[in-house]
Amino acid sequence: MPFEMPVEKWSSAVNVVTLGATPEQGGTRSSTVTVGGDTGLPFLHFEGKTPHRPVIAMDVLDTPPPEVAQALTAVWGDVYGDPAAWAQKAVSEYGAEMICLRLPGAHPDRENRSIDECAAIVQNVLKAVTVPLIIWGCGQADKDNEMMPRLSEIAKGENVLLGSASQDNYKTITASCLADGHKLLTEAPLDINIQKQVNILVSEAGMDLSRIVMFQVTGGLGYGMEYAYSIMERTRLAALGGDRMLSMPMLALVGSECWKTKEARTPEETMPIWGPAADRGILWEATTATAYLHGGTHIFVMWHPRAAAQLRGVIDSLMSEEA
Amino acid sequence: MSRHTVTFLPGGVAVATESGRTVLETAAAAGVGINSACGGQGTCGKCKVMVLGEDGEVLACQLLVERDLTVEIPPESQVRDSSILTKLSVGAALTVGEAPLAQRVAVELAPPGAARHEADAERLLRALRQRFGGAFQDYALDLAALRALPAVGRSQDWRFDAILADVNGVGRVIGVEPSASAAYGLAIDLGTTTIVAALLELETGRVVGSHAQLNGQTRFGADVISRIIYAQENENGLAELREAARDTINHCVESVLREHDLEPDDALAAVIVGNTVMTHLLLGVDPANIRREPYVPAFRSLPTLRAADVGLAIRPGAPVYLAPCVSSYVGGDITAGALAAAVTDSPQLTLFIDLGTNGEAVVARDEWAVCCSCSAGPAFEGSGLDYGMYAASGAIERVAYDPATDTVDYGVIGDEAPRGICGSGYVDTLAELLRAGVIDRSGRIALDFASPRVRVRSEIPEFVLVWGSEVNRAEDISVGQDDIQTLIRSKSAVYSGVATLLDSLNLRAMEIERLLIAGGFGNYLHPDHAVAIGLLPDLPRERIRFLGNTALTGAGMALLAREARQRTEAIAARMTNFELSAVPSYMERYVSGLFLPHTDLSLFPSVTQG
Repeated sequence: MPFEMPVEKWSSAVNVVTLGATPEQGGTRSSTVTVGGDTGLPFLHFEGKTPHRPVIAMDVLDTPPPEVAQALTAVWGDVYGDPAAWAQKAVSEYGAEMICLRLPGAHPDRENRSIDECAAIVQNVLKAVTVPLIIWGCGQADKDNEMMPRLSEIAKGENVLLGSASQDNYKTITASCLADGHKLLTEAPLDINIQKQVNILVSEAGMDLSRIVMFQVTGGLGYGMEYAYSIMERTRLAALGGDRMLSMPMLALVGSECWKTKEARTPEETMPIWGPAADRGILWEATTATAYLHGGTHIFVMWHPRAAAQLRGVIDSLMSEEA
Repeated sequence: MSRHTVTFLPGGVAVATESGRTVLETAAAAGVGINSACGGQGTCGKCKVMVLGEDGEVLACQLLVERDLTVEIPPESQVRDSSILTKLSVGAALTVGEAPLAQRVAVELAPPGAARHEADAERLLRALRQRFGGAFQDYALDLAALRALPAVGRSQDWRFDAILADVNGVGRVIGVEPSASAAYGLAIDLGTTTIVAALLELETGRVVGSHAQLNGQTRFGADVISRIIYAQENENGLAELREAARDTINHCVESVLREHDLEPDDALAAVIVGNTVMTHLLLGVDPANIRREPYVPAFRSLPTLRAADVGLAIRPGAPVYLAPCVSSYVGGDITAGALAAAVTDSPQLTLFIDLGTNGEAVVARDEWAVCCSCSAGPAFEGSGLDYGMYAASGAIERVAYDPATDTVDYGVIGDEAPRGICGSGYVDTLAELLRAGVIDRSGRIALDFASPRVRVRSEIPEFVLVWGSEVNRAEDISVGQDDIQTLIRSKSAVYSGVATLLDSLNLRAMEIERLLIAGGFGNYLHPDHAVAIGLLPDLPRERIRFLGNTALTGAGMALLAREARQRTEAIAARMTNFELSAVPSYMERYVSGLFLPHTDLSLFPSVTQG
């Protein structure tokens, strides 16, 4: 008797979001990136379509990460401290399809970088690479509310993903997104209800739901990965079930979360039984990313090119079944 | 130990007290009303007083009496008596049925004689048996009645009154006396926050008057849990709590009797309804296990007791019936309330919510009934909020805001100058601020809202409802960001508790045919506003009814008819308790409810569409 695969019939799909704008579209990007549109659970090709493959954005910070593992300085050491060069290297040497430019140094408790400085960084990165960008503030409400409108304006027309809007602070960045034609990254602290609430709040502030990408705090392997995974899975199920407030594509900050773990950073001499330090961090990042891939993440922000390559390999293989 | 005198103004009551006691304790012991919600911790700020001869205000709960003092209690800190917490309005009459808890029976006995050797008591009992027959299973005399009988009988020519009480089905004569007319009973709502005593005529069922007061136990803790903890952590804790409740009840009873020129002996019976913890504390029964897994109270149902046992200052032998409890946190106030609101045995699916500190909900239809306690917190009775107060004179109970003219239209209980806001006033305020866009759906105040009413005070954003200058007050009356978050948490507790209960029963909110709301948070509740903020499910408004203090009404009904008491017992036996804390989805629903009206907007179509 022939076996009939039981297939789930979903009524709805994940939204499609495009980032970047070419000259014809009013920007200066040479490529655009489109994510989302999934009509089923991740890579279950027999019951749904994955029209757009998940993408990888390389993380570029205005301030190099403190005490970073040797495996990373080996790759990025020469460009840490120069975001434009960093972005350029990520694209030209490692084929990055997107750059995620983050400005943690603007935080008053850290370098407290001035808005002018941040504006210059954004301008330089926009000139240095022509891939679509994510531009992300420092997370301190007052500073971001001053800074993001200016950065948004500099990038006007480029259709960037602006981050981020949270429950406590969303009005200013929403207004900037609307004014300058960008996409909006909404953020929640690993709580599916708060994610919905933020999406409702920004939508009532005028942002179209189709212009949103969601970010739940990422947990690295061993540091909350399963929790984040279950939230992603529930989110995808809700989107497929028709909940429009959870139908947006998802983003994960894999690189920063994984490389701050002790497993990624501890030198080999200190913990020889953990194996070669050169591989550990990469494996940590690749494993976390792969798990999230199965959870439904669409945009991965990563640090190590080899981890990115690993993930790309998995995506290739999973997407080849699609064809 | 030296003693000092504290004189309280206004009023000039001078109280002698031991050195080292706080001003608050001194006042409470003497029955001088100073507000307190935090149990004397110094955190609620409601007991501010001024010491004559010194500048500024101090907290009465922190000020130790170390010398003779004169203390002035400003209006905001005074406990004002209230007489409006009931829909059991004066003049209304409840039905008197067979075997009220007590009744005055005029008897006429044949005098003893040569051919009639029967003892006095037996003759009286035979007369009662003949009169009432099988209405009572048996008849008996209390010792007090027996002692009075020989003299009263002979002095009154065997025409006298027997006070007949229904004690667990037995007709007990608790007193014999010369013919008189006064036959009154008390219906008492032993609330966590507010105690109300209503006086009823036993013969006609007419409500003669009522008196309400803040429960003296609030100085040991605003909610039942903190009071259980107080009893455990303090050597005399249980006794202090019992005394505090008893004193407040007696103060209310005394006041209402005095208002009508009556004596304690004129009150022949009383019904007391309170939640499980309150009932335990009043009877001096340790409530500690209510708080411990598996949350088991010491009793559910109680036999009818005597006033002297309970410490009630009425006729010592008077019967006192306490409405049965259902579980750890659903008590006699709910069973009595369910009686009054006719919640059970109805062919209509009914949801009954008591919006008090414990926020109990009952879902019932025909022969089944399920209940839960949503633990709403005292916010709806005004406790824990900047300008919150219970529904008494001076409370803003109704609010409307017009952003176009930036005017706030409000109504005050008792038509006096406003001094605070009660539960219904807060519900209106939240709904109006949301509608006007002053707050977003997460309750956050928009600091850029174009109105001087929106401002920041001590780093907390707030909205000014009433400018002090308009009503001759030193301070403005405002609603702060923290108040709004507290209210949202309370309303979510109620809504998600109800949602969890319904879901566990496989019912949807729309199936509810009657939504009955009880509570002492105001004289009314605006259904549109209650739904707009997500406190109540989005039902057609004609299904929603506000019933006032059903606990008190139920107590009155139980006072006047045995059948009502029996039905209350049956209701208690029938109700199945749901422990919300044991349902995993509850927490998730609670977080979901922390949004106006709800994270799932589709649950509230009438307020989110169009």
